[in-house]
Amino acid sequence: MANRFLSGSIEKSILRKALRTPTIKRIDGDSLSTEISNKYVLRNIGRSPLWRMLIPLPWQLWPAEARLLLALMVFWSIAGLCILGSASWWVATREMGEGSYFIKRQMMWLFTSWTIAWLAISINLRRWLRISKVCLLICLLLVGATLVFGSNINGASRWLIFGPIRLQPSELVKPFLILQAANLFAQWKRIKNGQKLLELSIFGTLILLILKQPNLSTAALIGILIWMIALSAGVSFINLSLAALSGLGLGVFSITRHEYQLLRVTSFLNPWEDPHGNGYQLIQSLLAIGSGGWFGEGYGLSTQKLLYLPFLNTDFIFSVYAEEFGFAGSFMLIIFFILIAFLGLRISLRSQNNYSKLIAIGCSTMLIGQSIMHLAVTSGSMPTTGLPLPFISYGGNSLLSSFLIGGLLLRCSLESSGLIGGLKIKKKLN
Amino acid sequence: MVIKNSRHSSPLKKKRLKVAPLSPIPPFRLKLTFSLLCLALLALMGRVAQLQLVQGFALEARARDYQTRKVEPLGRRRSIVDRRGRLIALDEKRYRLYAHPSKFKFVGDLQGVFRRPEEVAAKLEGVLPLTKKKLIEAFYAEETGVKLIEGLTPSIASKIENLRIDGLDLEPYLQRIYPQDDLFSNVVGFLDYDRVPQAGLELSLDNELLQKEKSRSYRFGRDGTPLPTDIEAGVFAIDKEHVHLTLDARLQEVAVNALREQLDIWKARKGAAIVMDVDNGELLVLASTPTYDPNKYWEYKSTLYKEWSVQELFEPGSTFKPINLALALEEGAIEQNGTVYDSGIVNVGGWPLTNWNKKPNGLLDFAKVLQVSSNVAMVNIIQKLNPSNYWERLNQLGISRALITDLPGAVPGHLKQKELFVKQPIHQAVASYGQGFSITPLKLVQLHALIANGGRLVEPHIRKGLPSTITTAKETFKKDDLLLSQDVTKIVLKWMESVVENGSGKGVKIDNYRIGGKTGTADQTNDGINYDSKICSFVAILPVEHPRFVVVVAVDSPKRSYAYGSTVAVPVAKKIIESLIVVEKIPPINNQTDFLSAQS
Repeated sequence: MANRFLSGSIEKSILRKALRTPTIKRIDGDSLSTEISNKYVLRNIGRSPLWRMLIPLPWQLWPAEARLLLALMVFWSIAGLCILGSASWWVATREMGEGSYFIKRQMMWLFTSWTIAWLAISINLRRWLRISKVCLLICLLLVGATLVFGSNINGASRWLIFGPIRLQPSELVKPFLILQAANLFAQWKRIKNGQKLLELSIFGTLILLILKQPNLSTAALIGILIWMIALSAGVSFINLSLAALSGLGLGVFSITRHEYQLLRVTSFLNPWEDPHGNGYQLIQSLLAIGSGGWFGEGYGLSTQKLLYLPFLNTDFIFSVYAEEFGFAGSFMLIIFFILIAFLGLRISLRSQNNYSKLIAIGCSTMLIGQSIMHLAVTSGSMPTTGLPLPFISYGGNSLLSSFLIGGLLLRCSLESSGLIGGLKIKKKLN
Repeated sequence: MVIKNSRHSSPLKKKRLKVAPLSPIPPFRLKLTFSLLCLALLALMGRVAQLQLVQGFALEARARDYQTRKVEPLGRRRSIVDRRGRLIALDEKRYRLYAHPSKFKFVGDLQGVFRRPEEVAAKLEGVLPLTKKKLIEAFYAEETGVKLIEGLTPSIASKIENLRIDGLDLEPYLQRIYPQDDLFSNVVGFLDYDRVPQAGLELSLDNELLQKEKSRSYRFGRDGTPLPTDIEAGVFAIDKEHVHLTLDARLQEVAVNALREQLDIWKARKGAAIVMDVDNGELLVLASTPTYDPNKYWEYKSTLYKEWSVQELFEPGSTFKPINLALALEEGAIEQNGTVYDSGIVNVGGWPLTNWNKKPNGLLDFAKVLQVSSNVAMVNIIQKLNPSNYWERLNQLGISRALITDLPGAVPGHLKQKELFVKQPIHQAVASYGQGFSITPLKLVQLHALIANGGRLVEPHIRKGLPSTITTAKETFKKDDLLLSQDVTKIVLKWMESVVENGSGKGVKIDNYRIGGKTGTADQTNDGINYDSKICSFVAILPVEHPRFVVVVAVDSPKRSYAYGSTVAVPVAKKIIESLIVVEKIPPINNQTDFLSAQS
């Protein structure tokens, strides 16, 4: 738990008081490392190359988790592009007349997303936490707007169309939701019940609005995420169980109200009952995954992607992946997810305050949780609902929010070093 | 709150201290969250393992079953070509266009968006030979499975495919095309709408015309794109074999046109012309009018579908006389230089038999008998034969047997029973000038080929190059098989030549060519009692010095007076022979060196 690069003694005392973390033990090298870092910053700020000025912390000082996480994110997004390329090429040729249609757009979005990720890394977490509430409320309004102005695609109005750009507020809300949940639960035991209720009701409204779209999967994901952050924050198990029960109740209510959701749920239980109707999507997905066998058909050689699978760019991209790379590939992917989750845990444990701890665990939970739900849907372990696989599925909104979440996680890791994000450093830089 | 406070420094310290302390997050909760995620991921791994490793084979088999479609062959038939490779019948790919108006979509349309029929009609209008209004009408008629049009050529079909409209289905099928229109329909026949052969060779050679295509089963994309995997060897093999006919399209055309012209002039019911190679039985012409266009068979009466020169019998009449003379020579009943007396009338068993013009011709040599086509002389000659032997001879010629030929539907001729024939002289008498028994025109050709090739009975056929039971004269005939001796045939041939030189066959005379011939004008009966119509015919053998071809022309029921073999059939034969000389490059006689070099 030792933080080698914790800043000077004044700040140390402030933080110690503030955080009340008795487990943190200082080591004697503190003053030395502070000196080094101060010197380094002061000496290099004038003549460091541009890219060094663009990252908030010199590369040498990045914690190991941050470096690994960045590498994994780069790998994840590039591999995702390759997987999407294989999955989408045929469909793009048939339906758009150009094989690279989806990849080109995805690359453009990737570029934007990396900028967003960089922004997430560069901005202080405190600032993020301060603006999160406003952003959340704006997103809430946008979600509300989809119900009024949204364009209806596949029976759900999830999109707001501004010229060439299609916004999906339910995707964009995810990072702000993590931040706001962290804001709330970090001080859960301290704030008054009235305020708790107010904050929770914002979340509740959001979930209800998304349910109304209807977008069961995102609503469920958001509910589960908030619950997990609450769990991480140490909310009492009684309250957690109550919340879980009420969430389940809401889910059951929603399912029974919307016929199409009910059909999806029942068809998930036995897809073979109606292989050409409600069970079709799931059956095609199961056939794809099953065809993979041990080592898969090989990259680019999926047959199910030849228009048999529906939504294979987005909601069923894992099926294509699993068919092409087999169990070996699926195993690697899941191990990769565990690694990411573990990194999230490490960063969270290393973070120095409740806020960044919760942001870190929240971000990793969001990324991995969404992946879990995607895999669960495609493998028929969950009712068929549309959720993109982060970093891999086609879709600008999903990419943007995934990268913002990834960026926030990185920022948490950087701040866990204690070299940035604190008050004193900022002063020194100025 | 804490963060805020830490930013604003000392002045707010007091206030900050009043805030309740922030309880730190216990690490075990974070680990709990992580464990939950891991648990879910491991469960998923188990699920995926179950799907891919345990159920993998079953699911893959199911997927393959779903992705693989068996494509039954379209039923491609071989092309039929004439002796020079000209196409007579071929298959062409055509398309039927079906529409499913409730499922119209354009490329790039989002799922759940459907197009209105008007939009689709506007796109199709320029491509299809249908108006927009008609298309829209058709689209509104039914929700799905509207058959818009058929017979689309591949180029139009690919244009439609390039429009990339969902909800349009192009169904390929094969259409049998007969580029020579009605020239060969009597022989080749046709396929009906369902590609079931209905007549002619299409029917009789159905098995050989059908290509042995394998049914293909391979994987498809859902949009029907075939994939290059799991394909059996030889599935795409298409044999380019044609069915070669011995017929010659140019000669056939000449024959059909000449016949048609003559039929018009004489208001005759029907006509046929046959040209056969006497050495191997290859038919170069088998023309028949009136006939039908196999491309539009439905516009014609089904009685036309029969080829009458093969399937109908007639009494050959005078054209049979050379054969009778040959039989008489063979039997020794007459001598080459002998004579016979024609009194104009002869009484046989109470029946008075006369010449065609009821006039006597006096003392005749046998060449003259043919030239004037004397019935009375023929009766006198035949009466010198032993009736039993005569019947045996006729029977040997195979008159009452069906021809061995690859032409569909050949029927046997009629010859009186031996007892009846021998007992009643009238039967022998009328048989002497080709009445009282019946054969098909094709049989007549075969019999005259006997005279032309030195007594060998070749089997007339129209298929080239495919092994069958057909035998040709040169290959398989032994001495014993000869029905007539070469000396006899040579003599008869010379007599026949005189018919063309000075007799009724003068009409086919061509300078520098030696042609033998015999006209015939046979009475025929439709009801068996009244001989009220006639068949005018003409037989030619050429060239006499080295016979290669037999030409037979027969015209049934000419309605105008002065209709005889010489007036009705000979002009047709002449046109055919003229073309035959050109097409087959028959050398003229005064150019013996050329003739020899052409032979070697």
